[in-house]
Amino acid sequence: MYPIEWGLTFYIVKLYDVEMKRSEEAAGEPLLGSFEELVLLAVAHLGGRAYGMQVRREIERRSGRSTTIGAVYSTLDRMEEKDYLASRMAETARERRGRARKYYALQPGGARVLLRAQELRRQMWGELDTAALQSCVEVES
Amino acid sequence: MSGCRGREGPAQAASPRQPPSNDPNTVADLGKLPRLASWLVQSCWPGSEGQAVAGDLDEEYLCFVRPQRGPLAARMWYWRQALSAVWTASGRRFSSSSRFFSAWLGLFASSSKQQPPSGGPGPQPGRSRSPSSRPPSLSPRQGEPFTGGFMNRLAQDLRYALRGLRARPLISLVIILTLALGIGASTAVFSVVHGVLLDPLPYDRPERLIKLYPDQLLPFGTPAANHIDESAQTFEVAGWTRTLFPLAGAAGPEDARGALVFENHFRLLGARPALGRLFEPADGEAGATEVVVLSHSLWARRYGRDPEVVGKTILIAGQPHEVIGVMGPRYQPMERDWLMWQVAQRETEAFADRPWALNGRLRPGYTVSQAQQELRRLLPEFWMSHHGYQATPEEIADMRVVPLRDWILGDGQAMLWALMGAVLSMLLIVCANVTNLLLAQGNARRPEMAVRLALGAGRGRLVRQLLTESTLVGAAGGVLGVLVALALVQAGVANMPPQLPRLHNIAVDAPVLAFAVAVSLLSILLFGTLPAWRATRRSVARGLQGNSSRHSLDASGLRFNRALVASQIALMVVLISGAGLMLRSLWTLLQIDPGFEARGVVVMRPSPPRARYPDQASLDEYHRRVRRAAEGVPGVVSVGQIQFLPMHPGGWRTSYRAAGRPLEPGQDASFTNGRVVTPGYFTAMRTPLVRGREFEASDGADGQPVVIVNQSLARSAWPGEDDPVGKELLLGRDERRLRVVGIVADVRQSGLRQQSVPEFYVPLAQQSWRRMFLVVRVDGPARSMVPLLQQAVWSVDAEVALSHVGLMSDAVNATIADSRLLASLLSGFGALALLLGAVGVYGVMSYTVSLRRRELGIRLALGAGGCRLLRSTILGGLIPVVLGLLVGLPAALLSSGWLSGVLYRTPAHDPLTFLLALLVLLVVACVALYFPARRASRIDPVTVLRADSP
Repeated sequence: MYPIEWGLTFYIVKLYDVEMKRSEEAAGEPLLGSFEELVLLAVAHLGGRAYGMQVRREIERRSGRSTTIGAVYSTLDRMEEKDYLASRMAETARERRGRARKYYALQPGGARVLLRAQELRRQMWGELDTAALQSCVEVES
Repeated sequence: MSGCRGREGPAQAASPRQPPSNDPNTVADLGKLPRLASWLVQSCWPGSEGQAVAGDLDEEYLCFVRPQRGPLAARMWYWRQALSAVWTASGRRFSSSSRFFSAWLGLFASSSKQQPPSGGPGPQPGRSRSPSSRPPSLSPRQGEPFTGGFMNRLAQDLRYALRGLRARPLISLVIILTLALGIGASTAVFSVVHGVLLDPLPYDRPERLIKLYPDQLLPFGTPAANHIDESAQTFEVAGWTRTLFPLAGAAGPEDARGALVFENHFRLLGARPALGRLFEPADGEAGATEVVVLSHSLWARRYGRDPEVVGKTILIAGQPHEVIGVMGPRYQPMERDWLMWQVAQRETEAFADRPWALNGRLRPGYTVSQAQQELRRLLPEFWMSHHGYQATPEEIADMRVVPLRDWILGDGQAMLWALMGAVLSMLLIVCANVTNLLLAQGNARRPEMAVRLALGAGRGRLVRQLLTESTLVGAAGGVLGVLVALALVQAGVANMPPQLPRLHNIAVDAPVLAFAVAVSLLSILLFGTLPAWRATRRSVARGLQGNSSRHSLDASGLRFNRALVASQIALMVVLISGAGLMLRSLWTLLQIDPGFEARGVVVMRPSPPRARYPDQASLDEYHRRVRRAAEGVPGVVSVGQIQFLPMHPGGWRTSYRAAGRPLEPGQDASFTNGRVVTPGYFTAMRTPLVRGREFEASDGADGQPVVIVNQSLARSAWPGEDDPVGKELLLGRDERRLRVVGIVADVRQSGLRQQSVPEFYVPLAQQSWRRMFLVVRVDGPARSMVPLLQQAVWSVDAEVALSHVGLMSDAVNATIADSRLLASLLSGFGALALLLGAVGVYGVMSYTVSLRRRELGIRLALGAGGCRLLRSTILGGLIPVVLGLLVGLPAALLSSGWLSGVLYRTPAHDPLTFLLALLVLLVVACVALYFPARRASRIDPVTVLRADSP
């Protein structure tokens, strides 16, 4: 309604976000966010056929998590900026009304960070007793 | 590759619900895409990615979602996806640009003089943590630490400021709310000033438009108007005259107010229609089709915004008229309740004696004063040549030319500027208050500032930090203020006095928002700079002593606070004395006895059409039946009728003299106003009958002509005689003889402010009149009786239009609504200022006392009485107050001149009001001082001294 006010509010909130993220990252080695991990994994699964819609559907199919195309593209783009992914524009189809697809492929950096994430998880789990966690859940329910 | 099947990978194959899709379907479905959403995504998402995202959405929608979920759910899915994509895109666009700027500024900063960012709170951007092996680029990627650029520091400041606001919620809230009130009130008043005064009139080159005086009087009858029209060299003219258009039809009977105008009326103003055309010279010729133009509101209300109405024929008083155009909603008519315009065929007989109001437009190169000179030459010439009459110097002095703007805006200007001044001084008081609060806060934060200075923060950095905080507060206040202004304007426009023109033009629009932003920025500058400067001025050593600052009196800081209080008080004197003057003027107005009792009187005016009531007999019968119908309504006390209500322009003007008192040679005839009334009118209005009797049914058409006069007329016609009842009054050139049967009290006919003039009343039975106001005194709540009485009048004849339906008290109040509004607004501002001032005085005194705790404690320990301390503290606190009063009084005396135009019988320098204002301020200041002073006198010396011991 009042572009100036909304703009200002948005600007402040955004600055705040950026700052928070920055200070988080300053705390240690860059870690993958959980959604980022899902996106990278989906691209890896899809092989050469990974473009926005397919990635979205792959995540939905495998994890049962429903996502939006905007979030997927935003993450894909970020991953590309970090050199985890590479993209190319390729062929189109009739139902896309002539608009090209943007295909993504996993890069060595992306593979490395995925492996590190898996390793990190493994390390963190360590010898943790899964049965104990299970019983904990059962007590709760 | 085309069609949905083409790229079905293992992902889809795994889904058993996947319906087979084929090309023909898809192609047919292409038309069913939510195109708007698709377009939104594509245009909001930057670059070629927009194509990819929108393409993906279309593809998934057509191939999977629509076949699976059905059209409606699929559409909703599409929109949800699209909106989220747009939202994400806007965030990305923003962050990429902010990244660019910050990188650019950072680069710039590092190339000139890179200061180590210090003193800032929170985690510092570690310079050691340099990015990986990537070469430096102009657009560093997200996630990479910023190099201490402008944006980075701004972000830091903002974050810290937000945290600070959260940490001090109460004081922040008080500051924001105070600012919101100040900014909101000034924005609201500015929106009125802008809409009414500053926004140019919606005409072509409005500054060249003029109005000719005398206004709507016989000097400008049709021949005179034509003469001026033909002979004037410096200006051209267009005349208009008010009239009523009796409309009939499916929407019910109605008397629409409007004007008969010259055919060049709209052309002269430079107005354009929203639909159809306006008048052309041919329309004004005798015998042409009668044409009318409708106002936007009438068109919307009565004709349902039907564009086809142009070219149609409507009936006005039973005669066919063609509608040729409709004006736009923002068109400003000469008088605000006009609904229609009809072109006057002024060559015809019917217009021979019409008085015209003349608008004019200056011809290029001529000025208003040249036009006035020409008018003062032309009109007397015309009188001389046509009537053989020599204009008197007074009459010539009355012939004036003024800018049309001044005529339209009228008295509203003085009132609005007074309001604007008042609201701006309130804003200054608000700023002073916020400054005081921030100063106190700055003192409390001195240790923090000292630590940061000691750790190496530059003073500029700290000032910027504090300024960021005040900007944040100011912005919040501004945003809230705009909301306050919106609410105020919405509530206010409905209650504006009818004297104010151009009310429809008042809105919180772009210029008003710009004003709000400017005012917010200005107040931020006013209240933010000094506290920020002062809070960071302390030397490191003193600040680090922390608590020790309490021990010494911070003389310069206090001096500053006191100066602020003094200026606040000075402004308050101006505001409160202004409010006092307006209240006094309103009180004087309310004390006036208008000569009747308006409360409990319902009025309305039926307009029996000539077609149905052609002669006096049928009209008289109609009026009688209306009165009888009204009397039959339960709750009605008495009923009467009058030709023109008080507070309503009208009446007929004629010369008079008492029988047996011939005019002396050289003596001019005196003039008086007359009105037609029916028996029962004076009873219904409760106008006191001083002598004699009211009209009765026996005063019929065939009886002796009778008259009732008011006291002024009785005094001037029969000076020195006590009882003129039974004497005869001669009226008009033909000296009609009327016997005086009664004398009634003077009535303020044209508004509470206007003095009564000599007046007489004649009975309806002896002087027929078509449109008579019905005046009904009722018992109980009058407003609820209005529809009942309306029904009663329509039960006589449902085809008769009713106008002026309402309460008499509303009509009376409308004449003083401007004073009432100004008085209530000024008192509101004054009360708010008083409250703010009291808070300011209280705050400074509390602060002083907290600084002097130790001194006071010692004095108490040495045996000073609590009472004495109380007195001396209050007296000390009063010094800035008295200083403020001394400065404020002359300022108030000077500025009250602005109000003189709107004051009624109250001198602008009324000593009593000023004295009272000063007294009120002193009392309020004393009360505000009392509480901190009492705290001072009750300090426990032991606690203070113990806390002080090492």
